[in-house]
Amino acid sequence: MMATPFMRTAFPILFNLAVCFTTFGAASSAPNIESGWVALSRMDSIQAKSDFSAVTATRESRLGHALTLLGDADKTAANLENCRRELIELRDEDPNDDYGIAATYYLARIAQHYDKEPNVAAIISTYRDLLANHPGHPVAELAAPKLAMLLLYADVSSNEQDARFDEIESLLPSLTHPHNQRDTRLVLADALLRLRRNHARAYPLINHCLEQNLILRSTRLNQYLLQAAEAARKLGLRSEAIRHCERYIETFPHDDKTDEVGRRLQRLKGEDDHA
Amino acid sequence: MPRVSLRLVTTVSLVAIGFCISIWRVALPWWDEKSNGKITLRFCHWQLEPGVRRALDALSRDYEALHPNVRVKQIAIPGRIYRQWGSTQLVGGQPPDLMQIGLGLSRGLFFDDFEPITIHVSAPNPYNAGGPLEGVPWRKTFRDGMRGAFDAKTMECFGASLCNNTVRIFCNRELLIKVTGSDKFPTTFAEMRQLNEQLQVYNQEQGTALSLIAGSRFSALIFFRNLAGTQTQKLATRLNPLIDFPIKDKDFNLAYLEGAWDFDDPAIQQGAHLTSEAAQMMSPGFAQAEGDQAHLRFAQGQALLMVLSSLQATGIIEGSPFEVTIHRIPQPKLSDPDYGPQMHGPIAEAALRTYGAFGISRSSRHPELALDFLRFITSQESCRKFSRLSRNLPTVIGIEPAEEMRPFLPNMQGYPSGPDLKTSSEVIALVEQTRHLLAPPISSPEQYLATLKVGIRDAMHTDISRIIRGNFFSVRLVEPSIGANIQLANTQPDNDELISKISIQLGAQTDIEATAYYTQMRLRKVDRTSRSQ
Repeated sequence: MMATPFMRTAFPILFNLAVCFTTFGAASSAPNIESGWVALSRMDSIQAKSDFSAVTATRESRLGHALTLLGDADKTAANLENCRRELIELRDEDPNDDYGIAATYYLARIAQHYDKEPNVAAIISTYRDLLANHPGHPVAELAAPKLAMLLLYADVSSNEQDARFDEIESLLPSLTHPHNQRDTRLVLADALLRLRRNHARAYPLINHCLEQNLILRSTRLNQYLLQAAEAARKLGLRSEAIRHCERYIETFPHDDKTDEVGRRLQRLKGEDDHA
Repeated sequence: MPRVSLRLVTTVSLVAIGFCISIWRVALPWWDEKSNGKITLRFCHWQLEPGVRRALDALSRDYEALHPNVRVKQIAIPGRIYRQWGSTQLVGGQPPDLMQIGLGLSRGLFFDDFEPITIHVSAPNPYNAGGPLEGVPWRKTFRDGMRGAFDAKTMECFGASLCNNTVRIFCNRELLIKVTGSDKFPTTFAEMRQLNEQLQVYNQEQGTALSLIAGSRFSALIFFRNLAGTQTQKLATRLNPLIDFPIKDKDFNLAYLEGAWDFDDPAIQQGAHLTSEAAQMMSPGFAQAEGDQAHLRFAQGQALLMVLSSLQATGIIEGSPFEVTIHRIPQPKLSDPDYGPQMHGPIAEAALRTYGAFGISRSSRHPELALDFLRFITSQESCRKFSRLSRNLPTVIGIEPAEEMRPFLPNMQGYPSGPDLKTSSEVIALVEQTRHLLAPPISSPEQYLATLKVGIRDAMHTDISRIIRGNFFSVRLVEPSIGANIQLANTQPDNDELISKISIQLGAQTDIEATAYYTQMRLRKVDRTSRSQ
């Protein structure tokens, strides 16, 4: 079909107008999407819903809308279903872009925490796939500690549990984000201590997080400093136990355990001198 | 003409008058604003203690002096009805501009009702300008770094607080001298027992019916908890070999369900005996008495002592026509033949932490003014004044507590408290229902423990299941917030505050979730074992 002179003139104008409107639309929608994320970050679902609805539907705004519905999922079943539907569409359209990966992760989280009888095997498989297929991705990597707790706090044979400890330990070098390195290590360390009393294997995991200053929450730091000091003492690593006790006293000078930690520190120092 | 009954006329008139009063009350602030250009700022709280109300009133007048176009109104609501009252205000859309957060208000979902002030707490408080805290971020001007005002789920700050407390015994010094011939206050539980015996002799000789402690439901709760916590120190530490410190209440109860301890354990037996002895020191009917009844008994000189928190100090000291001295609760010594063997040491108190922050309600018509008022009352100068007038320990750094406040400072020497058989509602209800067996005239720890034993398994199981459900609820609740922050971090990779917020949120979520799975696994094992037996 031959283009008429009118079409030859009109098309570039219309095209340029379309580009202008799209650019303008994108420019004006960007702050709205960001304000939607800010509102959602503060769990202000009414504002987030309004911000995400106000912009042209993009994959990002649709993810925002789905997560807003997830925030209200405990209020009505319809919110959860609509959220799930949106996430499935996002995943099926493109499972490998940022939004498809996030959709896959949140679908697994929904299955884990909202299904009456969660299919744990399927959730574990999704987490494994996310970690294997998208190493270093900020959302895919969140699956590591979640996978760890699902695998380790399950009622399985001792041999199977050993294999699971090994699997989680083998994940650690591939994790790139400090919070995921920390959380996966600590879930593993806790399970080793709670289920096996294995100080030798748990201590280096906790010590790594303490040395790298990865533990930011004071209640957590309080507990892991005590745990590290006790593990080090039991492993005969007196100088390390002393270091953890000293750090505890320095960090928590006004805690109800500080006085007793001080006494333990003196005992450790006494043993050290004696040795 | 039909006759209208007098009753109908009266009813309609009363309804009309009530309606008009309501309209007038609602419209008054609006009218004030419109006609006089004055803004009314309202704040509410449940601190009925006269010292606290007076101190807040003084700060309000100071603020009005600085801002002549502002009128500040304080609304004090009794704690018993605070949640219902506050919820009604919030739902009605006309809540006070600032509300004290706590006692179940907003069910812990603060974002529905309160404005976060997180972005403001890293900036200096302008009301500290010209003083030693000039330029110091607002958050860091608090002794606890505002930890008590942060929501662990979102890591957002929802307010600022001036309140904290420690538990102490208040003593009628004149009566102590009359009874013992000296003003020496007991420092151990054995001496406390001796004082009670001396009081009984005094009662017989003088024909009086004085009690050692003016008791109430609340004071019994804190007094018994303080003492019982000494008896479980060793047992609870044995149950926690990973850190070698006492396990927390929930794990203590879970350990019971697993058979790691039982009611024959000396720690539990002695704990019940100690509580029974303590119950005999309380005034009759303490389990039903309210705080004001106990206060009246103390103020009338019918009891020698009273157990309460530091926040109530002003009311007690000023409301008593005699000299009041303040002391720590005497605890058993390690050398005590009955109670010493279960102890590691006297209970160490933790550092002061603020509670009950004032949050800016979302429906406030003057959120900026409310924030400004909040900054004003938590400045170093205002906090010093608040502390002096309310006898509350200062929450802001750089303020030395007044000499008379020193007995309230936490004593950190000793060993942490053990658990005291209480996790949440079911066990608490059971213990409360059974506690009368510890008090006169029955006073039988054996009967108490035997009765408790019948229902304790089910109660603990229900509580632990509820805690697990609550933990999973928290995990779900924070998921979208974490997701949103991760999306924001994609475009703001250098925003250190955001990155640290994500890290803290994820750490808390993982911690809660992993612990919930671990607890669930143990509880299921308990269920399997019970079924197979």
